[in-house]
Amino acid sequence: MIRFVDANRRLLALAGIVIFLLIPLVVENKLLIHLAILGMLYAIVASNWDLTLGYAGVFNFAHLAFFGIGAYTSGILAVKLGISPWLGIPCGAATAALASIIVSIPAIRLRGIYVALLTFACSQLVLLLLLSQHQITGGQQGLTGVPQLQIGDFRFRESKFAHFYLVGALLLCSTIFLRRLVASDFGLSLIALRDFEEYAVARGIPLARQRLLAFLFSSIFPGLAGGVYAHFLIVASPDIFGFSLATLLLSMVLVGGVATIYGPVVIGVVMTYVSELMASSAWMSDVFGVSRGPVRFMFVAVIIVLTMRFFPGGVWGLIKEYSARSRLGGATADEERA
Amino acid sequence: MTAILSVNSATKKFGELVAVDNVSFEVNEGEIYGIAGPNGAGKTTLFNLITGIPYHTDAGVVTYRGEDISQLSPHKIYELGIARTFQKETAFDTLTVQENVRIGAVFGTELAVEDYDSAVDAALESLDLIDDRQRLAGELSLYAKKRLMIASAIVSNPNLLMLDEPAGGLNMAELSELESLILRLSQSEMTIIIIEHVLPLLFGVSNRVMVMDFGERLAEGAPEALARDDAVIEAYLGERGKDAFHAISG
Repeated sequence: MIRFVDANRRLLALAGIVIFLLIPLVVENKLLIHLAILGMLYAIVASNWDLTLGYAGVFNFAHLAFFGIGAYTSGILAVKLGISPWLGIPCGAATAALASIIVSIPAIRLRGIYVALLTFACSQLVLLLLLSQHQITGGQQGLTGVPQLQIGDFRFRESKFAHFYLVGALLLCSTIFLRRLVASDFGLSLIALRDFEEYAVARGIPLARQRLLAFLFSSIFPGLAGGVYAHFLIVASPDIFGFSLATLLLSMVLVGGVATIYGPVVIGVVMTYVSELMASSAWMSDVFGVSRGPVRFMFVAVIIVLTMRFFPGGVWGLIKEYSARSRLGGATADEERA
Repeated sequence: MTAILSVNSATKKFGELVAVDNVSFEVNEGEIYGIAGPNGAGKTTLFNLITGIPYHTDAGVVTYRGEDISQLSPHKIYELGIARTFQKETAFDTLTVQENVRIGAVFGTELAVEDYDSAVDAALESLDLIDDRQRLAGELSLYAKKRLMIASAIVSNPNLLMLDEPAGGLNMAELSELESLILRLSQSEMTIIIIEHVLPLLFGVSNRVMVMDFGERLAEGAPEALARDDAVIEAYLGERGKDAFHAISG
């Protein structure tokens, strides 16, 4: 039974990868491809947020700052110092990782709302720092003129496939990294600390170290994604730190299902499409009588509320529940969670 | 006899309330040391002070094998070989029984990676939980959860095991099993401190017992002597209860 389930999963994963590879060959609409790339970048940020929020139970509002720091670091290195994006992007991830350590030190011993307040303050501090250094960062207008990615004479923006496959590979690596992490003893320790902190430390789990590592591990791929984002859109904008994007990404985690990783990955892409297509269609704003921007965020907020009220486990929770019911008694609790 | 644990003048205050008041005692290697006392006597607070969860002493010193552990982090205390259970049945409910015990084996122990699985299996066998290994801990009965807590504590093969009211809520058959288990663990050279309200169990397994009341150490000695100690009887039954006790027992 277990082997059958494993084989099915492998087949599903393989089918998913093949379908993914075929998408740019089949889809002609450039907007849909553009949104897919954006959705995958957001999915990376959201699924890594799931590590701290879902598994560690720590509400880290500075998470988006890691994405922003990656974007600005790589952008500034390229624009101001002429450093290749292929070096700038890893530098962005390293800077995001450093920032995660700085944020985590005061945050790891706090609980609940105090973590949210402190990390939100840190995120705003980074934003203010960027805005105040407008000669370097471009201030409110953002950092423009960020070079696009290229290898030799091959320019990524001129190809329909390049960004799609690059970001897809990054998302795949990020997802594998996260799944391995949460299935490891480190993942167990995060769940234990989240479920019952006092009991967890009584079993030898070093709270400060594990939480610091959770912050650190959750910052690396968003840092990389931020760098790619800046070179993909050829701009690094302070909007990255805004509440609107934070709400959208939070909806990906909550609607996808906290502590699932796969949920935010899938719903990350879906929500990006929904949100962006709502922003570009007129009928919703005509119906509600307000401009298009607010309507989509109202929609996102309503989706979050409805999910929390009726499906607190999110979409992935529903899928797992359905899958567990349809199996004939042979599944173990380990498989249920995997 | 060598002392494995020494508590000297431990004190803990919560505002005006003195929960543990200048308490001193020693536990010898290999013995079962009982702690009794009415509700609110400060027994669990004393356990919390020894293990640093979730607070340390305001004054006084806790020494484990000669090392001052009064202000040490809880995970460091576990690393030294002190494992405890909690009064309320406690488990990581979203993890399986096996994963619950594995946590005790992985962190803060000297076990090699390749020995984790065998150590977990041995602990599960010992507590008769091997058939429940894949169940979620949240699905277990009260007695099974209490055994799981002990399994996750002994998997690290601690030198000092601290059991906080392990018999609470158990029926007679389970109490009997628990008594056998405690004696079996003690035979494996584990030192045990046990807090318990079920006095027949406590007095049955302990080499020595300390009785606490209002945060203070009221008496200490062999169980059979304490059972006839007027101060102890009064702490449990009050003055009139003590008189009635003497009238009944002659």
